[in-house]
Amino acid sequence: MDPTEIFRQEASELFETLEGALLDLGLRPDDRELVDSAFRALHTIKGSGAMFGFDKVAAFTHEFETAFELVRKGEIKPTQELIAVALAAKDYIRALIEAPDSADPIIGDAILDDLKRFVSPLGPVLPAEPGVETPVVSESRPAGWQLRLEFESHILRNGSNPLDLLDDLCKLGPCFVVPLTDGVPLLDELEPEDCYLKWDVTLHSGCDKAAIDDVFMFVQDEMKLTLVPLAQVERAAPALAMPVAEVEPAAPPAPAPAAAVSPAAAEPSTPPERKREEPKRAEERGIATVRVQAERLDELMDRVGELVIAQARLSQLAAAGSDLSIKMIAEEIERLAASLRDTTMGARMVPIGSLFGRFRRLVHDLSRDLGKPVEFVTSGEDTELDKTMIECLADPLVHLIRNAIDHGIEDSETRATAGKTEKGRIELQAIHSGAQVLVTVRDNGGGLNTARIRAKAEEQGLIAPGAAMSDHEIHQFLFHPGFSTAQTISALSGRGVGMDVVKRTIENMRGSIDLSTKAGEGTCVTLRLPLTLAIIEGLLIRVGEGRYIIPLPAVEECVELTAEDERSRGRNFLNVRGNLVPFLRLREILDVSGSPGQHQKTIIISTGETRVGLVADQIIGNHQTVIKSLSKLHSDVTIFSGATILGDGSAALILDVVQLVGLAQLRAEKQQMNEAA
Amino acid sequence: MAEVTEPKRWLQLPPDCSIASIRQVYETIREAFSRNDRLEIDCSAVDKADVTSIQLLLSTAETGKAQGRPVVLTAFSQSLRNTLRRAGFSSEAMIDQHFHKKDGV
Repeated sequence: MDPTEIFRQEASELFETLEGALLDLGLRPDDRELVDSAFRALHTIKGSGAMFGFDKVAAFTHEFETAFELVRKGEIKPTQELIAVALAAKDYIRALIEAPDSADPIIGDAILDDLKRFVSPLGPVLPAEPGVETPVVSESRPAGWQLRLEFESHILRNGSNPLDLLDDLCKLGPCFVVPLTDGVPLLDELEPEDCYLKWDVTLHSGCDKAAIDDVFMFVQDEMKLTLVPLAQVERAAPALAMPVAEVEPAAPPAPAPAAAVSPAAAEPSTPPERKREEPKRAEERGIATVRVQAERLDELMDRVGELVIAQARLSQLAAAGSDLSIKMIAEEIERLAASLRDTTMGARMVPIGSLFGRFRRLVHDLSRDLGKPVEFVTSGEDTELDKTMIECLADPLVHLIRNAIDHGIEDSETRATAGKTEKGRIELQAIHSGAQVLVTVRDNGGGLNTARIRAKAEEQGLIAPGAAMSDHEIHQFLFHPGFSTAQTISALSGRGVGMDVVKRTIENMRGSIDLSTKAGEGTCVTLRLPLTLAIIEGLLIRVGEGRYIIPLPAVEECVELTAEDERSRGRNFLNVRGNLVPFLRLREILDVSGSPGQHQKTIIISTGETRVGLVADQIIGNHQTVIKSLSKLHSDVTIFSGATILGDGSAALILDVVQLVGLAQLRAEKQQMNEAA
Repeated sequence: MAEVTEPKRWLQLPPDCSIASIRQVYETIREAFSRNDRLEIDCSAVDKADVTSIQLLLSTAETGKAQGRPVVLTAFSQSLRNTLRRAGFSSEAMIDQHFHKKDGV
């Protein structure tokens, strides 16, 4: 992969860390961990940016870092205003990396001016020499330090630059740097991006150990730093500076025992337990994750899909023959293909938390712009979804969260009158539910105004005035194109464009959207999504000569259509253990001619809260369904969500059960209206 | 007897010898090494250098020495010199010792 592309990707992750830390800092200004986390991210962006030729990024980030230094030192508090400017600075750096042409330097200068304005009143308190403290403890300090720097081989690839660290070290005092070149291999064994050089540094400075540790704070897990006070080195063995035993810099200078300076007794400056762990951690990091291009994963998934189809053909051939050994091999391949399918799909799974993180900023900004204090709570960040689903889910969730803040959460006065807390609350949650993931956006605002929705629907001629409808049915009008009850159109919402798009996007992902509300208490929007878009478990059925797939997660049970049910033509209800379940004849919906067989089967499916039976001629069995998109010509045939290839090479259409039930309901309503007329 | 064309012994390093391009520079040097029994590398155009550039030049010089094939580095650019200085190669003598440098060639 192109190194600059690697930098862009890493920077993208660092921006998320930085943004998360800044937003959290707004809530917990005294949390030092957060300040350090933000600072580390900034420092890495700066170092990597310079390394990969993003000089403007490095220069701007350096200024940002300098301004933020006072926060890190605890000299100024991270106020909301400062965090807002810091977030703007982060956005500007991101623009410099992702779309340099759109990053106007004037904006950058304005942001830096703002940052400086926040920190300037305390400007003079910045110490001239970093790490140099008051003279109170200086008596116990050594005259200088002898250091050996050994970096892990991958450190350059991470964007760290040992030369910058040497420069920083030289700022602490006069340095004598000796490069150790013994580790550099001959050309045949050289990995050009690895780090082989080591350095011995003699630093003549009265600074304390903490000041030196500060220089290496961002790479301490990726290096071995051996550090010894200079006075001791000189007294013990001037020629043999390294390695030496760790000596506390604050301890009174004393001649080190001979054993302490022997290489066998060498100990680095960090505690022994930690040092032992470091190589292991680095090794674990190396094998724990591998960065793979998304296209390669897609390609792999396509190949697995082809393999599953080929395996289905093999199984069918084996089943038709009588060769036992072929049957055994076919079964083995079936198991392996299923296992490979699960592993590949697992590799495409991404925690939804990566998406949730983005919305914290959205809520933060909207809350500020609308003057509505909002608490944003997320849960289930570890819930995994196919990466394609995560990408598709971003826009619908942005819309739902915007709606929740703009329309759902009331202003502070209204909330106070209603006896609610001043701060509104928005919860974003993800949980697994069978083969689906439920994503909910819940607010504790005023809830939907059912009467107003109804009035608007009547005004737009969507329903007859006074028609009997449940609240749930009335709320469904919100998903109607162009439907809006907002009295004013704002920059955020009110144009009636959005909820229908949200619904269509979710349904395109073979998911569904549900909405529940309670007046005065809030609204909850639930998105039900399949785990993946690539391969699903399906139920293969036959209707006439055609074969169809029903997604297995939607199937509740299969029952036989009895003669009594058959006779109930016109009523179309099944009696399932005392419960009446409406059913649809697929032959009628799919317009299949001829007479059905004697033993028709009913597949009971559930779509949200609705249970419906689908009557088919035959249930063939489970089928691993590799989903193939339909051509553009068939894109308006909504009752099919795709197609798959069967073992004999023929195609089967995949039924979109939600659309199917909707279509059947529409037909039934039309029929009723015709009959009434 | 046909005259054998002498292979090109001279190689100029590109402006970018930083980690972003070092793999390509490495391949170029290896390829030049495979074709020549001696090599002269012109470093005058280098304007981006870092630890990886230093290591590659060190390795090239050492490989030439180990294989008995002379490698001469010439005309270090200011940018390369700055990088070497930051890395602790602070004197001409030190640079000559490690890189078998020859100036003005």
